[in-house]
Amino acid sequence: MKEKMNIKENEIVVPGQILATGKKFIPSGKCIRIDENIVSTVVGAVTIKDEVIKVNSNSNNYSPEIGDKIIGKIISMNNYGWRADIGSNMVVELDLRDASTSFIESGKMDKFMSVGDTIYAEITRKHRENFKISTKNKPFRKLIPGKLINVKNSSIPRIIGKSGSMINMIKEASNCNVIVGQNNMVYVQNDNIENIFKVQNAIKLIESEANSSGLTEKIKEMLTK
Amino acid sequence: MSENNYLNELMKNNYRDDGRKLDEYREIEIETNIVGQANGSARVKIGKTEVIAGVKFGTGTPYPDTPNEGMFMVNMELHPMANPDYSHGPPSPEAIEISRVIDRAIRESKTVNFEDLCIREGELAWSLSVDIYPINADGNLFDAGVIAALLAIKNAKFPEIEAETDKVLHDTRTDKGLTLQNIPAMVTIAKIGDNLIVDPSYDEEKIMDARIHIATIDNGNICAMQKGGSKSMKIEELKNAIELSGSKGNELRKLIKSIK
Amino acid sequence: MAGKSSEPLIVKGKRLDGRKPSELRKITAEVGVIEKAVGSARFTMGETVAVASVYGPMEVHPRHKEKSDRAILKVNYAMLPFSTSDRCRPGPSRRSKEISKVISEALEASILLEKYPARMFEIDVVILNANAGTRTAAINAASLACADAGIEMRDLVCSVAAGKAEDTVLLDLFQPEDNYGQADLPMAVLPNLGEISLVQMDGDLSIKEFNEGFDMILESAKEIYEIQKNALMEKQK
Repeated sequence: MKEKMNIKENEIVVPGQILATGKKFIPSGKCIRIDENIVSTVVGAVTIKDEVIKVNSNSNNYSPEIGDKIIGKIISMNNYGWRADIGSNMVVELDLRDASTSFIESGKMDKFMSVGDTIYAEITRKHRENFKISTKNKPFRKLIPGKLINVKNSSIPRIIGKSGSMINMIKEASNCNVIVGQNNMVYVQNDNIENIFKVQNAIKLIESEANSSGLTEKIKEMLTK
Repeated sequence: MSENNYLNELMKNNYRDDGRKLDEYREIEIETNIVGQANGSARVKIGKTEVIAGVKFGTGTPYPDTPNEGMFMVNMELHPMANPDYSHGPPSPEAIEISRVIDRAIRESKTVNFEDLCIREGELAWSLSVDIYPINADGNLFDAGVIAALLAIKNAKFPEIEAETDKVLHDTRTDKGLTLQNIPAMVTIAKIGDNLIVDPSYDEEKIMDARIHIATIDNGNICAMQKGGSKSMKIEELKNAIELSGSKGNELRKLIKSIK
Repeated sequence: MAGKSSEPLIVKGKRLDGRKPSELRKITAEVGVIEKAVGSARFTMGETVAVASVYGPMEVHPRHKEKSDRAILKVNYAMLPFSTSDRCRPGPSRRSKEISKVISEALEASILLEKYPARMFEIDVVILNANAGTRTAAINAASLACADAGIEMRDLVCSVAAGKAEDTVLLDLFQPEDNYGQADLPMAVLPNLGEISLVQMDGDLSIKEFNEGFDMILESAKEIYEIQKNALMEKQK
C-alpha cells in the first residue's frame, strides 16, 4: 500500500487538496477521507500528530460550539424566552428558565430583558438544530448598553493576549469594561464616550498589526495619552 | 436505507424493482391526432407516464436577424394533476428546465427546417408552438415529452391564411405540413449509486443521485445534453452514459419513424 | 446559433485573439471582494466578469423548504442590464432561472451539505460583463466564494465550456466565436476527484468531437483549480 504525506505542519491548504494517501491516516477537523486519500474541505492550516491530520479553518466566520462565550443582541421575545442575534445571520435561543437563577414572572419578562438589549452568554446545548444559551451563571448577564465591535476571528487571540495580558491592560489603561466574545464581537462600555473611542482605535490597531512586536506597549501608550 | 440496499442488490444482478433490466425502457404506446383544435397532436405513454403534446400555428414577424425563418417554441408545464409534487403558480425551476431542455433538443437537431415556416421573407412567418402536458407523471417526462412533441409536429397541418388580410383561419386545415429531417431521440439515464439505468420510473427518480439527458440525431451526433441532480458523475460514467444513449437512441428513433 | 462568419475565425491554427484551439482565455480571480458577505469572489475569463457573494449558514426561508438533515442552497444568477451589447431587461428570465438551478446543482455535488442541517446558504452571482462563457465564470466565482466563506467542500468546482466553430472544436469560446458557434458544451469539474457536476450541451457534435472537447475541458479544469487555489492563498497573506 503506497503511503504518501503531501503536506507539512502549518501549511495552508485548500478544498480538494490531497493531504495524504494511505489507510493509516486519520482525518480530524475540516478534512475527510475519500477512498485512499485524506482531503481538505476548507482553506486552512494543517497540523500533523502521528497519524492524525487536522485542518483548522482559516475562515473568519464564527461557527458556534457548545461552551462558547458569546455577545449577542436580543431581537425577539415570546412566552418561552428570547432570541438573540450573534452576528452573520446566526440566531440563538435563550429559554426563560436559563435566563436567571431568580424567578422571572412570565408577564414581566420584558422588565428583565427586552428587544435591543445586549447580553453576554454561554452556549450550553443544542436543541434540534438551534443553539441554546444561558445567562444564569456569572459572569453571564444582560449588559449595560455599550459599543459592539466586529473583529476578525484571527485577531481574537491577539486581543486577549497571553494569559489575558493584552485585554487586562486595555481594561486598566482605558478604564472601560471590555468583554471579548468568541463570536468575533468585542463589547466596550464606559460612561465617557472618549474612552470608548480610544479602545476602538486600539482594537483597530491590533487587528492591522497583529504580527508586530512591542504591540502591547504601543497600545498602552495609545490608551494612556 | 435498507430499501436502497435491496435495490442495489437487484441492480448488481442487472434487475430493477419493476423487473426491467438496467438498460430497458418501459413499454411505449403512441397515439397521434387525438385533439382536433390543435394543428397536430400526440399522446405518448412510457410505462405509466403519460403526456400529451399539441401544436398550434400562429403567425408573426420574423426576427430581424433571421428574416426567412419562422418562430419555434416548446413549452412543458408540470401540471398538478399529473403528480401531487407539482403545484399551481408560476413555472417552477423544474418546469423551466424541462421545457428548455426539450426545446433545445428539438431545435438543435434541426429536425424542423425553420425556413419551411417562412411565408413572406422579412414580413410574415409561421410560429410553431408546441405545448406538452403530463397527464400522469411516473418518471421520465423528458423522453416522453420529446417523442410526443416530435410526433405532434410530424402530423401537424397548417391552417389557411386569408389572402388579403393575412388573417389565420384557425378552424381550417390545409393538407400541408412539415417534413421532419433529423429525428432526435432523447435518452434519460439515472445514476443510482454506481449503476446507470435507462428510463427511470418515479420511484427511481426519487432515489437517484444524478440524471443525464442525451439527445442524438440520425448520424449519431449529439445535439443536446443536460445533467441534473445534486451529485456528480465520474468521468467514466459520463462516457458510458453517452455510449448507452447512442444505442438506446437508435431504438427510439426507429419507433418514432415507424409512426405514420 | 447563426450562420458563417464573414471573416475566418481560425487562421493557421490561431484564433482571432491569438489563442490555440485548446487554450483558455486570460483568467483573473480574487476572493473577499465584498466586505459584508460571508464569502465572495470575482472571476474573469477574458472579458467576461462574474462576481459572487455567499451568505449563511442561516435559517431557511420559506420554512417549508427546510431539510432536516442537510443544508439547501438558494442560488440566484443574474445578468446585469448593462452586461450585454443589447441591454437586457432586469429581473429573472427563464434562462437565468435554469442557469441558477444548474449552478446550484454543480455546487451541491461538492459541498458537504450534511454538515449544515436545517440551514440555507444564499449565493448570488451577477455578470457584470458578458463575453460568452457567463455560466462557467459564474460557477468559478461561486466556488471561490463558498470556499472563502469557509463552507466545507470535497473539491473546488472548476468550470469551462468547449464549443465548435468553423467545424473546429475549441475551448472557452469568446463572443466572436460564440456568435457563429455550432455547438456549446459547458461543464463543471471536480478536478481532484475526477467527477463532473455539470454538463449541458446544445448544437451538433459527433462522438469524436465531444471527446475532443471533453478532454480539453478536463485538462484546463486542472489549470482553473490552480488559479482558484492561488486566489484563496493570496488572501491568507
